[in-house]
Amino acid sequence: MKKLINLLRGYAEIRADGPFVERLLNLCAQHRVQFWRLAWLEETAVAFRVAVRDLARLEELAGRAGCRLQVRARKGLGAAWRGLRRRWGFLVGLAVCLAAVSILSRFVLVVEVKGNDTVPTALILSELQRLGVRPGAYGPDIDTSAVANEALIHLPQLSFLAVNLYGFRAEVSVAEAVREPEILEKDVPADVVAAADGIILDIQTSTGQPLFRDGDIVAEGEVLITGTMDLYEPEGSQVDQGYLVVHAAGTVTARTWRTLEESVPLTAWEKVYTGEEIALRSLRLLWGRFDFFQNSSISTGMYDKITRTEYLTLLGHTLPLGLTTAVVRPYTLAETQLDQDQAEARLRQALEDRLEQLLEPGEGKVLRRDFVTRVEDGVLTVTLLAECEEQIGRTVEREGETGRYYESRE
Amino acid sequence: MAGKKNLLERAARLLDLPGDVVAGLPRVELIGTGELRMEQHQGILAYGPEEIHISAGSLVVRVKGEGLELRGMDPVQLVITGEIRGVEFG
Repeated sequence: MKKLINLLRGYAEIRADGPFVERLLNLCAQHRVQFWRLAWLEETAVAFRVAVRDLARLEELAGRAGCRLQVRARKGLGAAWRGLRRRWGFLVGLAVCLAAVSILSRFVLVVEVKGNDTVPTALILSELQRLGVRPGAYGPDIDTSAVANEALIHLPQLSFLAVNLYGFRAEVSVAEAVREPEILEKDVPADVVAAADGIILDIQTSTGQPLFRDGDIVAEGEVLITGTMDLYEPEGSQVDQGYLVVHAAGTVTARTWRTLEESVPLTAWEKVYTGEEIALRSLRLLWGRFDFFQNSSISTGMYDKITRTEYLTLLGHTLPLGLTTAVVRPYTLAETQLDQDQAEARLRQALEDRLEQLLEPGEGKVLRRDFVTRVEDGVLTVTLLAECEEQIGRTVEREGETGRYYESRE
Repeated sequence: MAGKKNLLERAARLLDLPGDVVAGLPRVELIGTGELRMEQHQGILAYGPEEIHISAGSLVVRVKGEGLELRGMDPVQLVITGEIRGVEFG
């Protein structure tokens, strides 16, 4: 304990030389100059330690005792502090650093989102930014519970959101909401209608009454499975049993023929870059943006502008200090002739993509596809004739209520 | 001055009063053989790891031993540590 105190106070290792060094020790004792670790080096020399603050007094006493003092070392915090007292620049820097740390730690510099899987982080950050949680925000001003409640109202994809402030870091913990299953509106009458022309290969009815059989030809919009079911009267009965209105459901697999068409002019305007390239840089610090090229202008009317912002990161955390570089590339337009083969390949791919979108994922397949290409008045047109096997039944709801009806149908 | 001191010393002895309080006599306290405390000292006369001479006014206290060290000293008392083998008065 004593050692620790001495270290904190700071001490000096002294060598005293003189004919009567014991006199110096006695004077120290009389004037309450504490010393310790006394060692007799020679007949006329001793070494000991004294507190740094007693050095001046010791020198005076050494003069009275006729001794010569030599400070061999200064140690401890007190001694270090005494050394620093003369270095004003360092002290000012230290004070500025401490002030900066204590002030900056009250501002949010980093916003981190945790716990999201399917909901994009950018969406959550954007909502939080709207509510005032963003780099540069003053931490004590943020009402975390109010922000969480407000954000949850505007982000229905989340079931939980909490904002925790840890110094300059705002940690946002979220839990995603479980997606509601699609509810079959059994109370709403519905029919299954054909989404495309075709020949029925297989019709599976779970609710309702099928109006077609396998092998029948149907047109787009025709009701395939009706939600209005006739109730058959018992044999010999004269009483009408009425009919039942239900929410029809089922799948109808059919062979269909799709015709899709895409066109593109064979002449196009192409960008010809002038070769000039201007880089405009701006510094992003907290909520501010400092433009270095505010007054710069771009000579031509048409240009591409590619903006890229790189933020400084520290230990995986993005800091609110970034450099934005906008590269401006002026260009002019020149009329060029498109390569027909390339254009045709692009159109074919576009048609394939359209066809894929038309067929229900996992429930349709293309049995045969034929492409017809023609060029008319400088326009390239590609037609896709596809023979498919797909599920063409689509549930279409209608007015009214489900249930049993006794009056005769119209 | 010395006569007065002697008188006080004798009075303290006669009246069974503590001599260190009444007559300002030195008080030497030995804690085992590792520590010696002395009050009412008059300063150090000689110092070494084997022998330390302390002035106690009319007498000199000689502390003998090995690895002796003056651990602390103020106008009233001093503390010596080390392997103390003997204390002589003269």
